Amino acid sequence: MNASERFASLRKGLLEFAVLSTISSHEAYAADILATLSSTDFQTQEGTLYPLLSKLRREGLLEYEWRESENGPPRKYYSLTIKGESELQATQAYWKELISTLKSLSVKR
Amino acid sequence: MNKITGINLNGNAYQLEEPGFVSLSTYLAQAKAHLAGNPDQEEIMADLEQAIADKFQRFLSEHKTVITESEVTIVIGEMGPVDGDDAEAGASGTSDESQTAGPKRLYRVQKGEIIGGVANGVAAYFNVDVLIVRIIFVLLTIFTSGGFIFAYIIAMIFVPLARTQEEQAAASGIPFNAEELIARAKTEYAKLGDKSTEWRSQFRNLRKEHKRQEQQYRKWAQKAKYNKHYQYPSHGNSFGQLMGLLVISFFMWLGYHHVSVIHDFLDAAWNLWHRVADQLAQFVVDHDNG
Repeated sequence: MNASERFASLRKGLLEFAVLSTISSHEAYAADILATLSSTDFQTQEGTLYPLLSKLRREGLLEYEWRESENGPPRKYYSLTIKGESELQATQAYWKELISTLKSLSVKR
Repeated sequence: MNKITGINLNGNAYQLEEPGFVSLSTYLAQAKAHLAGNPDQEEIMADLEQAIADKFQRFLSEHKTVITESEVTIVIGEMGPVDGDDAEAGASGTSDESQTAGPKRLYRVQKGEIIGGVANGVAAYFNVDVLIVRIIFVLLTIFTSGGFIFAYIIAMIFVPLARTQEEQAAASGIPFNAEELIARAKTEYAKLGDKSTEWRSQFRNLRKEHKRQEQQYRKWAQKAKYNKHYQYPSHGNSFGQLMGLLVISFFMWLGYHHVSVIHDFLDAAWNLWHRVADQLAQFVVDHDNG
């Protein structure tokens, strides 16, 4: 079992974090988010992303607005709410804490 | 030439080849089922339809106005299975189960029957192995000294035979309508896809192990001065043996009631067994006392 297989469930749990991080840098619509994630370990599909976006929106972490696009139908552009920002920062802080814990554990005494 | 079906995906009109239309409706029906109970179900469905519509767009041009079946398959593959919310996953799991239980009726099932398919039908109804039902039937026949045969004949007359596919499905309580049938086939296939790599490696290991054992046997066989015609012993067909036993016991029962020689022989054997058993019991009692 390689690292990518071993951490499949970890990545699944972190997908929310990854999506919030993607949106934090710039407003994005679903295909944008998928394209950004596709080159990373967090690559996912519409079938997973749409329900996740709707869940994050219901939790008040995201909001969207309809915007016309040059070619094609109007799109939903997602952005973080204030709650979403603070949630993301809290998650990032917790993640750093986890990393430093792991590092401290591997330091030879 | 293929039949074309026109569809409306979130306000976009598309023309699909008929089989493609079937797979797409199955995909959307499944997505909807997975999102059951999600307050945003309709919105997510609309988003999914829009995403599918966007993906279809790249297959169309001025001279190509129809989405083929294989293109639909590609798009569905890109969309990926629709997950429910984590919190609702448990709930949707149970609702899935209740959906798979269709109407249940007792039918005789002809596929794999021995006499009239009654045991087969009962097995399908209670969802147990037909072998168990057959053994119970034989035991019942013995305990009622053949009376059960009449019950069986009555069941054969009054329990209808599952003739259509629908009836066959109802015999084991599996839901039946074209959409569900296709959905079931698809989910089974999808599972197969997930598991196939796992299975393949397991299968490879099994085969390796089998080959290793075979070589081992060959070596032993040669040592024991068997020649190379020695064959790897097969595990025997226990199902076939049991069926044979059942047929033999049926004929013994038939013979007991209709052929005096067999009747006398079995009675003699029965008496002999009793005498031996009595003597054994006596021996044990004597042994204990002495």
